[in-house]
Amino acid sequence: MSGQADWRPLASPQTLAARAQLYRLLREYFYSRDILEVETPLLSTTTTSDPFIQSFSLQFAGKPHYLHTSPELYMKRLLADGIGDIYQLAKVFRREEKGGRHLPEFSMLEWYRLKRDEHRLMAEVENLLTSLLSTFRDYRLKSTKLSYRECFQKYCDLDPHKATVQDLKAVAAHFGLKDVLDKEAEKDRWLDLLMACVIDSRLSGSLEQPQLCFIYNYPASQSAMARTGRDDQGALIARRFEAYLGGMELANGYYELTNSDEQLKRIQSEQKYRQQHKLDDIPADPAFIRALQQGLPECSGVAMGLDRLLMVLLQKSAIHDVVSFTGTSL
Amino acid sequence: MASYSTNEFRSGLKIMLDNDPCAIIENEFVKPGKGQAFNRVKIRNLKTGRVVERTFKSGESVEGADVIDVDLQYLYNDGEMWHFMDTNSFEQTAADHTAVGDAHLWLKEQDMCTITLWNGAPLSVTPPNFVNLTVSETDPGLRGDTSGGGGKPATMETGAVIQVPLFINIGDVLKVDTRTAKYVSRAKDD
Repeated sequence: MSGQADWRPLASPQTLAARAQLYRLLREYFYSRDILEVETPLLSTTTTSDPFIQSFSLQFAGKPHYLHTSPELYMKRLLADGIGDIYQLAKVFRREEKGGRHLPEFSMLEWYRLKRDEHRLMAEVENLLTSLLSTFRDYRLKSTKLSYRECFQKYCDLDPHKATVQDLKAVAAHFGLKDVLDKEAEKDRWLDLLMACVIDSRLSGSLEQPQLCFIYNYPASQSAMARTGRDDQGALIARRFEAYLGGMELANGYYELTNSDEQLKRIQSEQKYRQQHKLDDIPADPAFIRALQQGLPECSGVAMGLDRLLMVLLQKSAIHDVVSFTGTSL
Repeated sequence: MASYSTNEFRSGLKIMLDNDPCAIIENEFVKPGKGQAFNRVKIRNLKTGRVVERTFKSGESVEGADVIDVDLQYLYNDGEMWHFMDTNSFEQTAADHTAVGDAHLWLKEQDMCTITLWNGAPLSVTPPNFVNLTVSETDPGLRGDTSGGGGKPATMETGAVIQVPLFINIGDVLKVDTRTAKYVSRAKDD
């Protein structure tokens, strides 16, 4: 058997039909809410400067080009032009991500809602997922909301906004994660470690018994493209959320940053981090910055991993069970 | 030796960890949504056989271990070392007690074994999954009882003691599964 090229699809015909059904239901859902489907380029001269997302790059017409890691930059240019509520179903590409729940090429649903903050968008995510779990599995989805602080208090017994690097190291050591990070690693990396290796899998039940859990009010230092604010205890926070479902991180949403100066500053600090860590140098996208200067309307946006959503809807434990093929090695 | 980045991790990859050669059993990529990603890896220490879980920062590189598996024929034991031979080159390799471990219970002269070499020296010995061994000691067989119900201990020519059916006699040749140390059947005569 070995040596024989396995040409057959990875997913069963039933799974492929379920994916088609999911896409049809999503399109109906957004159509019924007057949210417009859009398409934006996958291949572009610009990409994200987020130092923890690596883009595939290639040369075209003598210039570096990238496969997009999310349709965010172009969708925001559409929003700045006044298009209104929009969504997109897109393949996105991330170079370093591969595993049982990650493929370097995966399917993403991203949508934006005008004049809504992150809490109203969370409510819409909940509504959509509740309806899908009910349709596909006849399952009643329960959901919870925890602030980033509550989440760390619950699982790591510390306040992430007040904790020092020493406090975080001690908790990491308690969970057998002593020397994972370098001595000079910043506080956010220790928070990342605890979030990814201690908290992540405990938030949202299992594939068999999924729950929906939203984490919101991230530290302002992890704001990415979200606006910042103060929580009720005065901590500087990012108005950002993550949705966890069935033991996995599923979606990431922002109450979008509209201030172009602040956005440019963040991009510059990401570029600096990239230089310090010898990562690819990614220039800021001038068209994106100009669009923000023109004015991004007040809005919230969320990106959701559709392969993982299918895993939960169909109770498949590996991401390659829900795709027809992978063009890269598993 | 080459080094491997975490995105090259896959089961079976041999790496150096705390100065010991290890094999990756399972590799899970985890990411907290945004931010630093990690690889949670289950690793078997090839010297001790112990399985440990380690977390790496994604993108980190780890030194590879020069570990290969070769199929060699078992020749003899000189009281201290076990000697094996490459049947193509006739080159011989000697393994000590640490490398051979419990495998010595199943080593029969001329059987082909898998020897794991680290930097050219034997690290472990894996006997064939099935070996044919002669019974050197057991209680007398019960004639007519071929039901296989019940059993008794039997000592094999290599010193291994396994449970066998009651009808087995001294001198019988038995097929044994070395992974479970269990009797399979009487060996066919051919």
